[in-house]
Amino acid sequence: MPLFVKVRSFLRNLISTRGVEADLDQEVHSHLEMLIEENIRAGLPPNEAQRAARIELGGIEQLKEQVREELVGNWLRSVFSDCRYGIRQLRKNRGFTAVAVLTLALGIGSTTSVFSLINAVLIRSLPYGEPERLVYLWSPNPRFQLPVEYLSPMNADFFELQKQNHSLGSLALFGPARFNVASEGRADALGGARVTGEFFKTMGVTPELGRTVDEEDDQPGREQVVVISHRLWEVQFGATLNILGRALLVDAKPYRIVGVMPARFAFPHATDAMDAAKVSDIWIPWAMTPEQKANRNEGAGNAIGRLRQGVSLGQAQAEMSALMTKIDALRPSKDQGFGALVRPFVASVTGGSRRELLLLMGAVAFLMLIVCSNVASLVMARAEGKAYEMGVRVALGASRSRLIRQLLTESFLLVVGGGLLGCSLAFVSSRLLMRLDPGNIPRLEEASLDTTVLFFAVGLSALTGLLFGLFPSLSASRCHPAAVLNYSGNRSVRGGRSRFRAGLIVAQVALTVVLLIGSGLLIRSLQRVYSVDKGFEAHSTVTMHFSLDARYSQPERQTAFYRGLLDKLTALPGVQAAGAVSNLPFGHGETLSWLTVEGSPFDEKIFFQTRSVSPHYFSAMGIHLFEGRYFTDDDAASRPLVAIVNRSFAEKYFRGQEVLGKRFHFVDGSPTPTWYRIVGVVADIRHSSLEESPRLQAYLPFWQGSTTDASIVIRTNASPDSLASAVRKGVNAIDPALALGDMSTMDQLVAEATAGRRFHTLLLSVFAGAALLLALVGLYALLVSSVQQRTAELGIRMALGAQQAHLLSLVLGDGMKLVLIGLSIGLVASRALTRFVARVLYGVSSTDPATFFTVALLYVCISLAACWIPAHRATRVDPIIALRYD
Amino acid sequence: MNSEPTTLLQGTLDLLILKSLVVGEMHGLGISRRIQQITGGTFVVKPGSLFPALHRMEEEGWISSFWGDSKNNRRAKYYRLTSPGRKQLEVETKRWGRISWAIAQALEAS
Repeated sequence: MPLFVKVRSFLRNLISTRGVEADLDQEVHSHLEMLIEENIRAGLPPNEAQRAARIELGGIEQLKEQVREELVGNWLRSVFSDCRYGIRQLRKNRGFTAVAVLTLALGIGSTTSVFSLINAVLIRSLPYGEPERLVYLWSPNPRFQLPVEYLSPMNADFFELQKQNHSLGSLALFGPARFNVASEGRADALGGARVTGEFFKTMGVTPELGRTVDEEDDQPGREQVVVISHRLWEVQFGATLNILGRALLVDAKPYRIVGVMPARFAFPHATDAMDAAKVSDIWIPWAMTPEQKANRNEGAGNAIGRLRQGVSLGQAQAEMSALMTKIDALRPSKDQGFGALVRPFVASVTGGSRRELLLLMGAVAFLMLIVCSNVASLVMARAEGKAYEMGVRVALGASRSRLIRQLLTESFLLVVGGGLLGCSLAFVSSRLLMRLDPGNIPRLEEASLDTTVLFFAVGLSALTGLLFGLFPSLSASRCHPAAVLNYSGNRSVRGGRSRFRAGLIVAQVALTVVLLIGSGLLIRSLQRVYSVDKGFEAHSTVTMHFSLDARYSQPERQTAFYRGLLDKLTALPGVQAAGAVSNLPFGHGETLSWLTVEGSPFDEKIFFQTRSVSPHYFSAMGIHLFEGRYFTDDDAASRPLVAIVNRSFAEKYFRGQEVLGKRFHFVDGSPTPTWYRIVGVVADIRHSSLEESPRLQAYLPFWQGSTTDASIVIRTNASPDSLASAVRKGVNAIDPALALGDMSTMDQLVAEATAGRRFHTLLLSVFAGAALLLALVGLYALLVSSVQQRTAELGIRMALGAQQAHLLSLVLGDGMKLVLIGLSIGLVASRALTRFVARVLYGVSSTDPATFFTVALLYVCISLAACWIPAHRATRVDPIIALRYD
Repeated sequence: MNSEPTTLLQGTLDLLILKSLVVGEMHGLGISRRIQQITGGTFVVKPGSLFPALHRMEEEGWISSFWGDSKNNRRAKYYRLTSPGRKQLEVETKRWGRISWAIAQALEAS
């Protein structure tokens, strides 16, 4: 049984290594002695006999090594011994090992955590069936200069398209909304959506329990069913299994729970659609009346469809455009111009954050390159010190491949250490990243170290090990024992290698400068964003949201509710002012209207932000009044219609004229215009982003209009938490079915609006800082070892009368030469590369000279400090000792 | 003169070792001298080739080893053919026959 024999030999070689070795040693020696005897018998004198025998045998150690290489399982044995040897070596050089492992951990850790974000957001598939076949359907109209995702198909257009098209297997509407959900005596404001019957089929998801909303449900009169999220099921109902059929009050109407969705399904998220809450928890059927379905001037929902198998995006687009041309012709010619646009769903979901994430990945790739070059440089420096050892080993019969393997093993040990530490680092940092969740990156909260990420980390580590391990190993193993042993030191072979190490330093400096400039530009942008004049006072405010249900369809009832609520709130201790507003700034909602201003022609390209506000809204928000007056309680339904405009509005239409008393009316298709008289001018305020300049804004009195959904702003020094229970009690006294939602402060809302920018600025700065640290360590280590190698030369210079200052400048010059070359390359590269970040900059040019200059100056100063220590050490060289050195 | 032919023709050394052990058990030096003798001095196998080959063949199970005393009362490691070794010898002999016939044919062809 040859296999059995092999296994036996393998085990013997592995287990009784010592016995095998002793056996081999004895065999070789007895062979040698027999050779000597033979020679003596042949008549040679003993000396000669021994010499001839040794020549015939060759080197004893080489011979043994040759035999060992033939043994079964030799590779395993040599891997073991390499590892053992490697670990011993690394333990002997604690400083080197610590720096190398920490450097690698830093690189692998940051790259892995950025990758875990990318994996969660861009790679891991969405929790919808075949998401690549999902498409959004928009109905853009070039007459209005609005982003496409502002314009969904008008209801009548949508149902025509749904009936006539062949390229989409199903097409559904969903309308994100906030609901007051009450059960068992408590009311909560929850995000969710009204959906048409095809919605869940289109999304390709099946419920965890029960059924979804289907085509039977979206008829008026049959819509009292609700599907809830896994989260709601757990939080509200303790994940009880007899959930189906239970009652739930949604906006004060009874609904029956028919299904529970799986844990990962919470569509639409805040990043999926305007007006959507952070996640959705309930879905109810959208039962439109025939009149609503026939409305060609209103599109209330977002349209999402699923491509039929085998139909391409282009084909679907062509069909939809053709259909839409016919359908558009059905409306009066003055209203025409609506088209159809089919957009891939996945790209729409991830599109916004894609650029930022790739920017981070680019930055972290730079960092990883610096890590590799740094460790390679360290390993090479060490290999230079080991040249003598290598020479001895070659002389003793080690093959070159054996030496390379040995050196690579050491590199891999470093990588394993760095990789393990790096993964722990990534684990910690991905927890940290989640706490920094800027809210604008979809599914960031799902970032985790799953198998994909771990595979990535392992692959990255292996690649890193090869990259920094192979080259130094090759160059170190290319040694000529005679040359090395004769010099008995390490002077002969270093020219080429130090040049290579110097090249690595130059590259590191250049990469670091690019990162520093990139993060510098982002930091300056963030400063600009922070210093923007918001137009209101964000401090000392508490905000909340109310959404009134169908019982409040009459404006009088809405007014009564909000008046009663505001009176109660104003009476609370510590409250200075309380006001209501239809769309809170930074509250993710917006009303855009067309207005005609008296004396100016109507322009359909200009949209006005309009808001209904209660009298004390302006004082609660701290919005400055320039002219006229704020609203008062007398601006009620029965009184003349009034309005307040912002400064931009006043300057655009009434520059140099009296503003107060001027009028405008809405363009809403009604035959007789309803005029509003301007009674005040207030400051411009930023409404949805600090980075967009304010639009033309108009405010109308809350009491003169009709508003179901509104936010309340309270100016108070009390914290939201301390106010919450008093407010909740007040609301409960008025209407127990209404929930108080989105309790927050303006400070928080503004912080959320800048969170995305803060997030990538912070990460990029951390990477740049890490890169700077690594590059300095690399530079420092190179100079230290070069001073060490040049001790003899420095000694001679000193003995010949060189001044300390001269030696100092010699070493400093060596270091700074590399820094300056790297700096120039980095500056040139930055000029070319910062183009790619231009789109995420705000108020700063991508070639901002101040940033470039600051980074260059900073870099030179810090590098001087890093070079100073080794340079100073050079001046301390004692010529006597130096000349005796080696 | 030396082990060059074994590097030219893989397996030749194995064949010669197996063949030399047919007459009985032998230590390394004995095998080396035996090969020299039966090839009329054409091949001198150096220890650097012999020992790795012996250890490899032992692990293949073709030969087995034991410690014994030489003629001059010296401890030496002896090798002997096993039955798989005999089978291997047949296989190698046939293979060699085919190769040498083929080479001869090739050389005769004009």
